[in-house]
Amino acid sequence: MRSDQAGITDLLAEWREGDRRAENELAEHLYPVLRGLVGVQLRRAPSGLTLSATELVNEAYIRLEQQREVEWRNRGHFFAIAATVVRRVVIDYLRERSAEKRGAGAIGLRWEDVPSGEQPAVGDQIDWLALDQALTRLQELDAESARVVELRLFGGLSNESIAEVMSSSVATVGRQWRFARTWLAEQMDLSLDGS
Amino acid sequence: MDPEAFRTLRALFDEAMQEPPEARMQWISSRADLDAATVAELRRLLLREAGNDALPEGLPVSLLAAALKVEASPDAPIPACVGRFVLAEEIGRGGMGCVYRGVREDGGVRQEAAVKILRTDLRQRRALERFLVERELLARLDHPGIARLLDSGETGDGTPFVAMELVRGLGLIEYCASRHLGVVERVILFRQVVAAVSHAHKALVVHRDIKPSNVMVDGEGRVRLLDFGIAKPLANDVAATATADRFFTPAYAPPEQLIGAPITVACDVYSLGALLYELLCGRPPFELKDKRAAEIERLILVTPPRPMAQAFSSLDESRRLELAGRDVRPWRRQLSGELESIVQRALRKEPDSRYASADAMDEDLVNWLEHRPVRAAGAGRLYRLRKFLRRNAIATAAVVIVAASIGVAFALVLRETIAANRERDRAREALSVLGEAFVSADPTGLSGGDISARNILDAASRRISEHVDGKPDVYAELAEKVADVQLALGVVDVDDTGVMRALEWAGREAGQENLAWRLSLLQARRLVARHAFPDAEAALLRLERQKPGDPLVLLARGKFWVARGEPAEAIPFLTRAVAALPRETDDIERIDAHWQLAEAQRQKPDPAAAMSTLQSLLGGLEPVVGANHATVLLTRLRSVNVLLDLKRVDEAISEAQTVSPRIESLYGRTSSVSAQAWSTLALALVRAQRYGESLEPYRKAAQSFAESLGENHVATARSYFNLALMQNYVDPSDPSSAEGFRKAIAGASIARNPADPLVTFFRIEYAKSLIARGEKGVAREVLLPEGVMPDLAGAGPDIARVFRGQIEAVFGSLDCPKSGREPDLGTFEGRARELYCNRPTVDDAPT
Repeated sequence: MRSDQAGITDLLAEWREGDRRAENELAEHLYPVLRGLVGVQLRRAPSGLTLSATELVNEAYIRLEQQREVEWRNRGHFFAIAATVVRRVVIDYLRERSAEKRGAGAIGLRWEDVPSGEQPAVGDQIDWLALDQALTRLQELDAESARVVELRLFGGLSNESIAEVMSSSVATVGRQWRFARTWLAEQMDLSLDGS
Repeated sequence: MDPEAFRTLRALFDEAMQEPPEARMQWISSRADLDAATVAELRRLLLREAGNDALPEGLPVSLLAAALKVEASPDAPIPACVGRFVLAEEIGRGGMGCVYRGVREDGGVRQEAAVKILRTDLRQRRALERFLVERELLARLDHPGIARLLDSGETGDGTPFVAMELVRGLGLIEYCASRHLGVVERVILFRQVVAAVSHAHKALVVHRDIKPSNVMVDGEGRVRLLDFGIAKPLANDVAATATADRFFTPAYAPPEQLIGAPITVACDVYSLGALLYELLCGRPPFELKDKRAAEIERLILVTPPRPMAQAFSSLDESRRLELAGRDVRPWRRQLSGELESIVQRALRKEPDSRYASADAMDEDLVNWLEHRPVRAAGAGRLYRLRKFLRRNAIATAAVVIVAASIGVAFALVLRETIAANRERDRAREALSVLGEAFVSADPTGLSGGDISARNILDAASRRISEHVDGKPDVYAELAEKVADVQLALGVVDVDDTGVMRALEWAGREAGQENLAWRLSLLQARRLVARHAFPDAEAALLRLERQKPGDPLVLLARGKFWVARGEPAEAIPFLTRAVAALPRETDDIERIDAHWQLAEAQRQKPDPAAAMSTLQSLLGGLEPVVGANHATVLLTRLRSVNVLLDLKRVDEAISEAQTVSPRIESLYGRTSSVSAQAWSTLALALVRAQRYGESLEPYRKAAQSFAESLGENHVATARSYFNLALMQNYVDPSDPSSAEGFRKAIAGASIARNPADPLVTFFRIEYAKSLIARGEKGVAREVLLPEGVMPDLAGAGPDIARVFRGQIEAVFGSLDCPKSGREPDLGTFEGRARELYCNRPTVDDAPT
């Protein structure tokens, strides 16, 4: 087993060179950090009221940087890896919650981040569990489009950054996103109506 | 789905996208090679795409934003008419859908309506239910203060709609601003909102989202409550509403709404409180802008809103003028009285301790408008009295006994009416004993009116005001007494109407000339103490015309000049006052005159003269009252400062070492006087560079301030800071100074505000000590705490420069982006960059 400090830096380098295995290992390192952060947030807000992907990833970034003195030369890369982990953390959390609250259905986990100058809006809920399921189906059918969605939604990356991270073009990413969002919405709606 | 079919679909979708939007459906039909299932599926996707009905763009964050605010979709079809209304332009958007202006022509009668149509993409069960609930609730309500339901039904494609009375006018806050309404007028207008809410409650409807934008005022000044979009029927089964969906505006939401606890009418009472708060002082109870989620939670769940007068004072000059016009001071004063009690009562964290209903709140507003005692203020009175006495009166056993009897006497005064003369005498006596108790607990007036003393006095003057008609003589005398005690305590920022009313009565009543004179003098002194210089000047001129050589007028005039920092003007008046005041050596006014004269002489600066003034006072005083009398000790304490001015440091130290323990044994440890004595000693030791020895007195000072004025008083914070600074100076490697720094920052953040320059200054010194010990990570949190942007502009260039220097020490040099990109204030780096880069001139740059 590698020591954490050397491990993460090396892994990051390997991953940048296209080694998917390194990405998975990195994600394993990230998971407990993010999970811990979610835990802190939840202890502060027992209702599970507020959780922001951007905030979460930012804090993880700072924490890793601080604790392990890893220099992430490219924030985009970090966010890309973090995206998958954020998705897992959130979905795990939601599953546990809904297991606790028997029959509570879709539990509102509010993703909110306050753009400066605007009051935070607390409210509408998105059925993240349904989205996760639909996204998993999409992964099987069209892994690349699914990854685009993951990076946008859970990593907060722009199309430009996604194109860079995925070694693709902005136009392709744009097409993939346009299709995926439409297809996912259709899938989610169907399951809603069907229930 | 079959992967093969998916690939086909995916390719066709992309292909269709190449076609112009309006030609896409046509294009599908032209593809004869496709099977029916694929065509159907593709059609659905394209429809969704065209209707902007896909997963919204962007982050999860903006997903939410988009869910709340419908993206502008110009091609979304708007039905030409719904129900009996012809739709005109769009007039608003909400989380649930768009609102259009609708017009109905019916037999020559033209009616306008706000027609709200549910967003098509929200035609899912939950949103639909909510919409239908609103419709049903609105049908239950019929009140002039609530926008009426005119019609409801479904549009041609089955989307539900409601048509509401269209209110043309301004939002509540804009309306008040446009009409320049004063505090009283605002309260009167606000009662209409309360009435509307009360009606809804009686119809078993809780609004749950009362906020400024949901209250409109029409041209005739009639208030209308809008948007019952998230209203709930009050269910018998409370648990059912407990975990219901949340969809509200946090700035006006009570704690129970945030944590998903059961919602009752108390929820609306809270929001009414929040609305009134903003209406009166120009800010919502909590500023949530730029705050992080955790911080917002803490504010709403734990932190009590700061007093309205304070919030009002913290507005920009221009905002304050906009709100209050030229009457900034009276406005502020009105906020600090019983209105504050009413608002705070409505804003309590626990639903049970708020007003039980909107009506109960209204009753208190009426009480306030009619100058009757409000109930909110009365509720905690005895509790506060007890608390005050407990905190202040434990100096010696003797004081405890006195305090207990005061407690009883005062409670009686408060509870019973003061009908008979016997009772008046009792009241007068109780007040003067009580006054003495207050004043001896804090003769420095440093606390600016300890909050509990202030409340008790407020309560007293309220009680007294009940007798203004029946027993004006009792009223006037007691009003004078209360004002006198207030002045002695340094409580000067209070409502003047009591004194003015008493003065008015005494002024026209034969035989009451003395009382009238005392009252006008009191009022003038109060204005001086309040630093209301133009008014004070006018009041003093009137007094001087009446009795030019009166020693008390001379004293007041002298204090006026001292307060204005004009020692040369002050000294002649004070010298005459000293000479003219009665010869009784222990007369408090005469002692005060000496103290003031010495203060003016120090200001001049002429410390030698100040010294001789204090010495001559002591020479007369000590043989009469004894060496351990409070006045002697306090005079000697003043002389310590003069000795320091004279650079006679060793004498100052030995004097302070003698006096401080005696003051502590006289006043007790929990007294701000003892605290002042100890900090004077510490200061003298620091001047002598005996830093190590200064720690002990600094520690005692901090402790006494904390126990007498509370942890969150500026004086307490300063003394913690001094202690920490000295600890760190004596031994920079010792981390124990951190405690003092932390307490100083926390206390001053509450006493002032977290961005205040004083707090920033504390942060800088703390960070320096941390950096010196190699704790950069902690220093970063200290300099750039979550949710706080230090006010560097207000702190002046020196503090700003040092602050930026510290940021550099923590982060290394930061590069400042040239573009106007908004920094992310949620991160340390973002905040650092904002503060570091956003400087007024290049000259400020740390080199």
